[in-house]
Amino acid sequence: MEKATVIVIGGGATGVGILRDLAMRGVDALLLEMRDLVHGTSSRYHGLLHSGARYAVKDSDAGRECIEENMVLRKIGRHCVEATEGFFVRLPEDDPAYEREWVQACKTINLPAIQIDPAEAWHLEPNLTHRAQSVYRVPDAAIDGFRMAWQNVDSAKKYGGRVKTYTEVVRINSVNGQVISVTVRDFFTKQKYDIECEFVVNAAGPWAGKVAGCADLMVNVQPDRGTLIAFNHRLTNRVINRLHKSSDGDIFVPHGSITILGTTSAAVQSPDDTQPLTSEVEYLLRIGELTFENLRNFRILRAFCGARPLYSADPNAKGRGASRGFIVLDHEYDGLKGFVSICGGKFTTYRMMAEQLTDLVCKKLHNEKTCRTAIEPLVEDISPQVLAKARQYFPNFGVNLAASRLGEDRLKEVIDRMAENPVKSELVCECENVTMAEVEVAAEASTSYTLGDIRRKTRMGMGTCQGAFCTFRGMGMVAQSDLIKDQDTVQEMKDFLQARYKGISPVLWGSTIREVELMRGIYDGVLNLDGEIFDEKN
Amino acid sequence: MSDQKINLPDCCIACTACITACPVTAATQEFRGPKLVGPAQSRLQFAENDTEASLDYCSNCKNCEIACPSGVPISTLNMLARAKYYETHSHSQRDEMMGHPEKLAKLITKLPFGAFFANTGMEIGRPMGIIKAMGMADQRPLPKYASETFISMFKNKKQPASDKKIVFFPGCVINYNEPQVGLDFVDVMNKNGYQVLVEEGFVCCGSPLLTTGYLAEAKENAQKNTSLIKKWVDKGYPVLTVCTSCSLMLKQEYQELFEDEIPHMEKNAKHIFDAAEFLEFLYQKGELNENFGEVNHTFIYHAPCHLRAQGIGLPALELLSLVPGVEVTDAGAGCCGISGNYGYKVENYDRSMKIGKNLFDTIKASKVETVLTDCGTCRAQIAHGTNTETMHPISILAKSYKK
Amino acid sequence: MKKTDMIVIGGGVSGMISAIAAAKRGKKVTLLRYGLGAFEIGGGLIDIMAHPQDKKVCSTIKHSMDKIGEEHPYRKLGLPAIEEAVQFFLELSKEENFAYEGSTEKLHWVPTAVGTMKPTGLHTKTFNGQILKDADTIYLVDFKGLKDYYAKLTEKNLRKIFGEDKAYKVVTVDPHMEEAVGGRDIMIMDIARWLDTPEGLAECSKQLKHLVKANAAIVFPQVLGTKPDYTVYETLKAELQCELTETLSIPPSAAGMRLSEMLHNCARKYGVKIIENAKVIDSIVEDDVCEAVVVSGVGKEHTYYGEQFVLATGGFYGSGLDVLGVKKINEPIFDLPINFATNTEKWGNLELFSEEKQPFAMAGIQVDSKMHPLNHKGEQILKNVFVVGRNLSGYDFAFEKSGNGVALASAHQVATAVVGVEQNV
Repeated sequence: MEKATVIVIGGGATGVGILRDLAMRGVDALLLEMRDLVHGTSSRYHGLLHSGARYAVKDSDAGRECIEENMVLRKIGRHCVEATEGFFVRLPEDDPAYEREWVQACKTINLPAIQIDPAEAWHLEPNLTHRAQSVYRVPDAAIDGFRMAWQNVDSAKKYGGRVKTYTEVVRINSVNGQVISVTVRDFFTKQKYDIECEFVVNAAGPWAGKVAGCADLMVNVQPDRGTLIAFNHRLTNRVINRLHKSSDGDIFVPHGSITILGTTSAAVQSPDDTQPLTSEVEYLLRIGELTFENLRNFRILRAFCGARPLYSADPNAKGRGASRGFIVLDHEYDGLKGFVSICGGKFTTYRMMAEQLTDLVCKKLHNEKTCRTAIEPLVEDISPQVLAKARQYFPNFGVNLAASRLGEDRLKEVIDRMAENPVKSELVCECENVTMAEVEVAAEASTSYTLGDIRRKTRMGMGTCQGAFCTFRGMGMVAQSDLIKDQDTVQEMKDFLQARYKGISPVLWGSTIREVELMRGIYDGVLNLDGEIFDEKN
Repeated sequence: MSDQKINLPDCCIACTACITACPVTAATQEFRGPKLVGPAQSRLQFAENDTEASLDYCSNCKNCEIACPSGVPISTLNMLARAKYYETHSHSQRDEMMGHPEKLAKLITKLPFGAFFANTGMEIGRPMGIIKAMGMADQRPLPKYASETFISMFKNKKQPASDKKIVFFPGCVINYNEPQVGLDFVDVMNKNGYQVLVEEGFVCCGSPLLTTGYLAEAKENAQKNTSLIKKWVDKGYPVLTVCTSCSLMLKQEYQELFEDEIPHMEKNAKHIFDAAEFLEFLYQKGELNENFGEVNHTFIYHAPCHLRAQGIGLPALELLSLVPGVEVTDAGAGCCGISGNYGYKVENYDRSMKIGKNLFDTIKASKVETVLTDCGTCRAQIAHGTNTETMHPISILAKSYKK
Repeated sequence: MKKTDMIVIGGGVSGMISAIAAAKRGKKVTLLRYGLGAFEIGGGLIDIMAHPQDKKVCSTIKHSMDKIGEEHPYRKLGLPAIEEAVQFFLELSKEENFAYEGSTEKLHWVPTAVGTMKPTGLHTKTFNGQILKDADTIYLVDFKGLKDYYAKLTEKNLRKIFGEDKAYKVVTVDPHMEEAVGGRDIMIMDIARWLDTPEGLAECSKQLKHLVKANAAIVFPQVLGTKPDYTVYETLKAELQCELTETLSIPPSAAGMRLSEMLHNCARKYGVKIIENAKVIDSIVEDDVCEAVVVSGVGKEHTYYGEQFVLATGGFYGSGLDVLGVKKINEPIFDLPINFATNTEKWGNLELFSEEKQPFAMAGIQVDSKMHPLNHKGEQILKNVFVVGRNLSGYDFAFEKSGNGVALASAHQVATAVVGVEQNV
């Protein structure tokens, strides 16, 4: 039977952070994720590395934590954090009294919030509304959830950490009140098997309640859905926050070639309820267009939702009221040794959450090593020589983005393939500049089972055409090199496109519906992926 | 930046229509294509300080924009990227020359017999390899300077006075290389009851400056020309030109490039016409002088790409069909390959001839001796590629009116 | 102001066909086009009908007139009109020396680059699924460096359809496009243009001769030339002594370029005046009669006067129908009322590949049997305007596989109606 000392359930930010910390302290750890990494909340949010200013007034502890971790993550995560800085913008609709309170609160938590003249703000961000009354600069940043997770895993692997994706825990087994193993189910083969372990960490985010249920325990995590919109262009180079009491739709975050606006809040039954609604999009646009008046002229690429894992001891406290702080539950108090859950929290403080959890687990395992996750960078900087070599083979404007996605080792691998066969420099995804070599390397990873998995590692299909071209090219490439065995390629392409469409179906207007027309024209009309299958009688 | 500039690349749905229409794409695998170099890269340029290696391949012929169903100004995006490149890189001496035909021509024509010496010099320089060494293609004869500029000749031209006036924007080619075409134009307007005025303050439309990456200078020219055009438009006089690149630049490219930076462009554009466009308007209203004399000749007409991009059809062809004895067919064979100063650059010559091959073959197969086209550089390219005589359609109309 | 007989707005399949059909009947036609139509997206085929109701059950239009809703343009036209249009097209293609084949009676199955099979109506000889059924050996040709085609993917899925009793072999041709390294990735269009040249065709033929045995079937990516003639196809067929077929693919479609050029040549031949880059933004209407349309032009507007007008502006793709929001569609030229043609509140199905037609695809302009636009009460508005092609309501081109068929049939109907109107006056 397979075994690990510690099993971490959940491949979101918290889970990968814990895996890394455990591995760095020499603990044998295996992370199990029911789908692909960051399938849950950690890929379905703003991607904002909070300066903490948002929480300064209402929750100064959270604010303080944020600014501290913000600084740490900028240091260790240089290659998944874009130090965009941010603005807080007060509009005529916003209460000037709150501004005063906010400025004071930021001072109190040592958060540098520097006032600038709105005219300068407009010069720096030409799309910003000229109705802005006051503007402050804060050290917000953007963080790429996908990259962050993979880089944490890469770092963990260096220390012996292991990951299994598409592996869902269905049972936590114990004997005499002590955890002994977990039973898992493989998503593709549907086969169940056991993995022996001493300790289980429940870092399943909004599914934490479900996982606790696998041990017949109750953890009251209330999934709360937030919808966000992705725009096709960088409307802004900085994070833009509304300077008012925290509310819906008041943050814009630039991410690579796109901009994200969010978010909303609604209690839902299941964290799998991630179909965004047009009404939510409309709601966000009405708020967002106060900050960017020409917002509706910008093309919406897609909408998406994530479920916040709100924890409360009181089963009835829902929505924004419930704490965004986090809690570590040691289930020894519930009669089960070797099982802890970590609930709540926010992305920005994932590392700190992981540290506290790992401290607890290590204490129980009598491991005395100290935490170094704030000290050691997730990935090393890429050496200038390697970057220079990359420039010889990569298409223009393609090196920096690919380098930060890949890290030095994989980048070298990609370059070698391009050098050996120049055809591999060709672009599979022209919208996001993703080469064949990169897709190949991503497809070969043991955690890549579907085109979607490749997408999350490379950004293929996440640009303007939302997969209209790269679905075919990506599938062709994968089939050509036999990179993923025994696939139903037609179904795979349909699944990939359907996943893209899920986020497009709430925003079917403007250029977005034109893109869908093209997608349907190609994959339904021309390539006939979905029609009656030809057989002899035809 | 206004909404317009930001949103237009946003409208690209990656349909690939531009790729099928781009003549440079058809001629070489080295050019990465309009979709990629234009709207696709505009989304990724934030990521690093880089330059698209094949950016110089774009000839600004506008075929991509004609093909685009989404209104993306692809070719203009390329020109803007080129201008950005030259913000941090210096121009070659060749570019200095090719980007500033007006400056060069002014120098030459100031000298006594300047045109003669310049022409001779160029002719001698060609076989000696000097032209090539300077970075210009030497297989094709360089445009000859006329011994007297149009503006100078115009001063001695007698016109019947009229209350109906138009202002002529000659452009560099007419003024310095083919002044007779300008005079033919004046004759045609006179025959239609218009008096032609010439504004000596006009400067080069800026098209060669733009394509060679001198955006700031192109803007200066745009400012000068725009305020002068406004002066005439306010007096109620339309501005006409017989060069289709000048008309496209004045009517559209100024606005695409300098929207919100220069006032009055939009209003001016309503009063700027290609000469044949204006005459066709007269025809539509029943005001054209249709006393055309016979001109017994068979022609092929080539529509310059910059004319096709204006969305006015082929007005010269319409007018020619009114002239008795004229047999004229539209070549309909795509870009001639020269695209302004593009084909004159040594590194572009072969490609420019390859692009024009279909047109050259079509003309040669038709066995006509004279090809008509409204663009000066097209005339040079076609003459070179087919050994036919090339003329501006306005000259045929002038000839016909004289009969 | 000078008036022309007919002004066609839009240069896609429906625009070109209405222009040609009217010009052939002696009308003076001006065609105002913005963009190049959707030729490079489709496969240069005329899909007439394959899935009238159910994706899993195919049927030709001849056998499914009763299965499609009465809102469907085909129902407005009636089968005889559809068959006349088909005849018209087949004759036109023959006249242009690029004869298409097919009918309303039988579906013709053609292979795609994915290795699926797609049922179509009218097609060129170069698309032929039958040969795969009949062959013992199937070669699949790959071109070195071609990034828009993967023969192994095609093979994988064709195997599933045609079974293991046949021999399948992938062979690779090297087009020697070294320029592409570091330049533009090789697309199907590039290989097709290579085969347009005598040198390219000879080289490809030479290489393949060493790789394939006679009497097999050869599957190509869509590269058998970009011109509307059979030179490449016939040459390779003769040299290799095999049956050949191309596959349908992602854009840009070489076969679509052929169809576009064929129609373009034909239009010019019949004297259709084509004005490029002409975006029509408005119309001048008096007493329900359209006098003229206004082109935004470059810099200034141009007005075109005509007796009859054909709105062939397509759907969302070229903004013939502007979608401003959920169920908010605007027809920008005549402000024609939009008919949603479905009873659902939904705008888009939750599934992209849905078992039901997409509500947004069904929306458009409702017409009578002569293709005149109707208001919500079913009354004709605008006496001299016709609506053809994608902007018609009541059908889903991608679900049904009926796009170019509706374009063709509705456009051809206009020419008939226009001449009929003249005769009645």
